[in-house]
Amino acid sequence: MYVPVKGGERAIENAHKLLAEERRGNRDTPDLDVAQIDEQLALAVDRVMTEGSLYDRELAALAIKQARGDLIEAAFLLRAFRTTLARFGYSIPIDTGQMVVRRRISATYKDLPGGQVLGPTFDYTHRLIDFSLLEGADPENLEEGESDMGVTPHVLNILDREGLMEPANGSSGAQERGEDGEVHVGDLTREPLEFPADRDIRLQRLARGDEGFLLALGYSTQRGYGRNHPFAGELRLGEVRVGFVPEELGFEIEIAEITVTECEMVNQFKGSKNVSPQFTRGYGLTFGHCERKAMSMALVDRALRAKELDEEVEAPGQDEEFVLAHADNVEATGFVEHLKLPHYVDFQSELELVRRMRAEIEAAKVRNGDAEQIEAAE
Amino acid sequence: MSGLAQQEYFAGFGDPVHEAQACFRSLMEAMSRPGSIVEVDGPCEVPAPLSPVMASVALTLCDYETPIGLVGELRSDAVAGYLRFHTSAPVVDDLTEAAFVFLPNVSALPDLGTMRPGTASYPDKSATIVIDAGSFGTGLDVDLSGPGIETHVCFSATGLDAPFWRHAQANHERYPLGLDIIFCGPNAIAALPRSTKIEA
Amino acid sequence: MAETSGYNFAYLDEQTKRMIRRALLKAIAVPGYQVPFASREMPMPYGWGTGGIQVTASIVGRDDVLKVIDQGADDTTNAVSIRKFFKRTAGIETTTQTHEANIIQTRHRIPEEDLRADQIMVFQVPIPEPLRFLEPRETETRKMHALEEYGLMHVKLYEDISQHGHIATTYAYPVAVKQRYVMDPSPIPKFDNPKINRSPALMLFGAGREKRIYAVPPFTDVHSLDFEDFPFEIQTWREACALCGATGSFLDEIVTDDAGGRMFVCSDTDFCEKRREAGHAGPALAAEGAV
Repeated sequence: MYVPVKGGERAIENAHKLLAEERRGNRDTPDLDVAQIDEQLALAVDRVMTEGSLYDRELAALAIKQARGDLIEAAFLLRAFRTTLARFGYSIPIDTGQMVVRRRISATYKDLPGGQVLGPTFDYTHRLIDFSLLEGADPENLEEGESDMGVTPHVLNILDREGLMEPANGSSGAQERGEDGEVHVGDLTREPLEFPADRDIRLQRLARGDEGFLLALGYSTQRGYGRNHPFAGELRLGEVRVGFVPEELGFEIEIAEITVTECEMVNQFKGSKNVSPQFTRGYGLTFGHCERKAMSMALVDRALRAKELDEEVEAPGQDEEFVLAHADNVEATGFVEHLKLPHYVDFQSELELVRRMRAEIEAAKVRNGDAEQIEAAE
Repeated sequence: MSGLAQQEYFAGFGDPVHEAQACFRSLMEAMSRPGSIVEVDGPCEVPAPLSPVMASVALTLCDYETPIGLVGELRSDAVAGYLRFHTSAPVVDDLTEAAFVFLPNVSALPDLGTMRPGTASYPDKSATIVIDAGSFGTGLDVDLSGPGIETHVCFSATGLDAPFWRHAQANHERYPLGLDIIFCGPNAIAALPRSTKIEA
Repeated sequence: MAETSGYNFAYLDEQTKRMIRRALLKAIAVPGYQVPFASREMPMPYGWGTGGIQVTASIVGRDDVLKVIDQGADDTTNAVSIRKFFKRTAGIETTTQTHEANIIQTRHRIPEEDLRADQIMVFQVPIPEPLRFLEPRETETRKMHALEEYGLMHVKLYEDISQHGHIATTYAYPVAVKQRYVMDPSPIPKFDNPKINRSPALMLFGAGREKRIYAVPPFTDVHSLDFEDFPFEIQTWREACALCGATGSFLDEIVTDDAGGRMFVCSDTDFCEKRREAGHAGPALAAEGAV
């Protein structure tokens, strides 16, 4: 006899136990230390902090461990934790001009004040598997280099000084200003996304957005889907200070030093009726070292400025609603994966309709067949 | 309207989580069944002329995201200070900025045009008016119908006179734009969302 | 079960609850209109009912009794998981019996048993915008709702009829609320649409990923879109429930073997159990009794 399925609770508990077992793997292999993930899988930690929208290396490393290396799952864990945190206020904007630079390159000038600093990069490695890492080989000790580079000016300011660069806040300049004259910056995590979105909200959405999605979109703009002639004006990696003004103190205190990657793209702009030809900006910023993401973000940011710059919106990368609605991988993965949940009631509804329509078509065929036979007989 | 410094202190909810929840359920019940009288408790002591039930409504719904407007005798330092302290809501002079407008009685009702009715695209971006209505079941009877009402409901409250109901019906006629009204009685509330039709 | 320490009652912080509560009141004041709200990231994925969970968490109190169903069943894994979440975070009583519950959170079904005025339905909604499959842009659909411009929807339904002889929408079947807003009743089978019309219970809809809340107050006219010559009709089955013999309920098809064998049973498990307890028996049970 048929017995309806029961025992969902036990099934879930068992699934959780199996998952824990699989996560740990063979117990003869030492358990992963969160510090090891933080130190040796640092770029994974950086990505999870960026897309998880929370700067906490240890928590991000823990999330990666818990998620068995699934970085989207890890970012999701971080986001779900983040929403439960009390909010004390907003920090003072970070000043990347004051960054202690570890890597800084510009593709638009051969040399420039502060110099080209390669820093830690895969760029000129030969992608040959290094079998010595199998044995756990340690790298050579670094020689003490000249560590203090001093302050490095932004490359785009050089163009700016000549009037060749649009102002940093874009040509729109129509940002909301509060009574105190300060620019009001929206907060995507406290207000629902509405269209059209201002650039502050767009950049927040892109900063939290999926690296793969932005990479593909940025790439598409290079291939002619909304081409905007980008140059990597500057890419910099390093440490910046985060300042905060507590209500009760009334003056700024430093609350953290964080690592960020910043990319400023320089894009050609033909000019419009009111604006003479000049260069325009695309901007990307991430926590930690996420170069690919920062560059993709800068390409997409620039592409999304099409309307503001009187360019025709014709490609996916320029389509604000398309890009912003689908950039978030925590949302995307949820909706794609929810197809795993039971849908049998809706499927039953479809089955019933398809069967009925097929029956009607069969019946009609039979009727037509009869009619033809009668005709033939006449 | 200055700070709290020399003012008397009045407590808010004793148990904020559960009292706010209970008050909200009453509000939801009232809003989804227009004209029905739903019981609400309030904090024991509040600065006059704020009524305990009104205070309850404010503590349940208002915070730093909801600018509030105070009209008539409610525009006092004591009331503004109390609401600011317990809800962190900014008190604004310009009613078009207010998400919630509090009135001590119906006669203090400003021109409805001074409060925001929402927009065609976002009719939810409209103000909610909270009125101290004295008591229910006294005054001019009107007949309410619409969503939330099975057939008709007969409703009246202190001070709700013919001119008020004309304004309220005009508000309804702008549907889906419009203001939503919460009436506060001594130990109860009733609501009149913009969706409710009013007949004398 | 004890409440999980470290988290607020029903998980959400009070500011979030207030924000959702304000959205709920506006949603009730404008039936069928989708109110944008700042949906939070929940500790379960988008698509798993985060909208419904946020709504339930914002309305639930210590004395409420909660029922959670998915596909009409209390024992489906996600229904179990959501029930457990509220037991853990709010310490409230839960039930599988429709008549005992005063909050019923659901995915894809409305219980067969008539709802009462003291009950609240909370629907989990994936895509709240009924026009989304006709027009993917929010900027456009928002304009259509503002202008009450629903021609596109009628054209789509009519094209179905001319192509297939039927309106080919069988679930998430669009409704007009109080002759104003066209609304997605969530992916319930159209079989359940009539249960929303003038129901004595308040119906709340939460879409977490899409960040929308909407509502149908009690006794509100909710009309499933149709045409004079093609009136709306619900699904019917030739079979009765194999377990309880019910004929007027929504039936799930159970495949019993690899040779085309199948049986039909009520999708509402509580309804089916109640009927069996009351002595009703469908063909499967009757046959067994005879042995």
